[in-house]
Amino acid sequence: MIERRAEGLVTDEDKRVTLARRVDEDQVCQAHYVDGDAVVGVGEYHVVHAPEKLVCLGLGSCVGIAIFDLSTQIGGLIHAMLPKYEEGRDKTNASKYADSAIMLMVDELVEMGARKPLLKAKIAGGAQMFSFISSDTLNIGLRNSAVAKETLKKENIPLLAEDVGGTKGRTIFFNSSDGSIRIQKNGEVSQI
Amino acid sequence: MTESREQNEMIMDGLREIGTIGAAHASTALSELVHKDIMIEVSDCFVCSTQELPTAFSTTEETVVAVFLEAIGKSRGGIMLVVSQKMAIELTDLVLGREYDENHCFDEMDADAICEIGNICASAYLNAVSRFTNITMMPSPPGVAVDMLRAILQFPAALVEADSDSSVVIKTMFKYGKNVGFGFMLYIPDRESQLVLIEKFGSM
Repeated sequence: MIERRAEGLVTDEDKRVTLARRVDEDQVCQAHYVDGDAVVGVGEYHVVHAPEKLVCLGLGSCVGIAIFDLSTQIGGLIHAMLPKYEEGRDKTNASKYADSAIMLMVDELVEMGARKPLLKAKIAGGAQMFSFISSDTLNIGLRNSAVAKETLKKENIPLLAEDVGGTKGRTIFFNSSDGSIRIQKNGEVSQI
Repeated sequence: MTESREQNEMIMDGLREIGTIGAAHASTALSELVHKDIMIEVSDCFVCSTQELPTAFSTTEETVVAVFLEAIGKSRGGIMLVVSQKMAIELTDLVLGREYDENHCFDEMDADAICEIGNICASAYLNAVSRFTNITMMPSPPGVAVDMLRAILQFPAALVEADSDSSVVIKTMFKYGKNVGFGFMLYIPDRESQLVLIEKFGSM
């Protein structure tokens, strides 16, 4: 279903961040940084070695999915915009969809040396920004987090913690050395 | 909307024209509502691709107030009004007939009032679009969100992605009393309306 690209790994020694290659343009995404943490843009995922940290700024209906293996100290963060690759119109960028992005990133993590049976996951985001919308098709936040959980289950990756739903946007900081996620929501800070 | 440059220019002119007409109608309706003059002018208009939408604005960390409406009819789409929190309160002050209070926080009443403003702007704009495309569209009941601009923009971006690939960003200037403020209208046409718009303006 999805083209898996092991050659998509590019290690940038200066930045010590392995950047995910966007399938669409065959171009390495330029990571930008906030306080030394690499920012994962909308529809992207990044994989790193500890002690790197990754950030998703302003997750609204998007969902942030962190997958990590603490034993080998390798982890990654996805900033997925839409739920399913199969339902999407744009087939060129598989990292945009929750299900395909998880598969792609798991492959990359394993490629880097992470042990698949030891992978764990945490998810955050998937808010319903506009509270009036009642139809499920328009509740992209809910569908994003549901598909993310479903895909993790299919991949046999245990979901350790989640902070999804609600009506407020979140900014999340993923720490690859202990697998924790710090969440800023509505001016409050919490950790999962 | 990946047409030649020349054709693109024509489409942009057309969209700007629609924006201007919509803004004029919205000005009139809003001024009547508050019995004061509110001028709405289009200062800029551009088409933006889906993925760029959350990054097309420079101040994405700022907390903004957004009103989103779905266009319902023969053809669908989304329409959103985005203004800064300060400006939202200034506008709702006018609607609710309140004096400006620096310490006032955006509350339920403001949310309702800004929904109404969004509703008026969206209806006026959709009307203008309908007149050009001959596709009748009605706005759905509005929804409001107060959050980081970046987080808010993901919603229309995801909608756009599901059904179409570009959205029209109309930078609008609101002049009310001594105040001048900038806001954005986002119009996200579905594939069908997009094709109709291209056909109309591309061959004028």
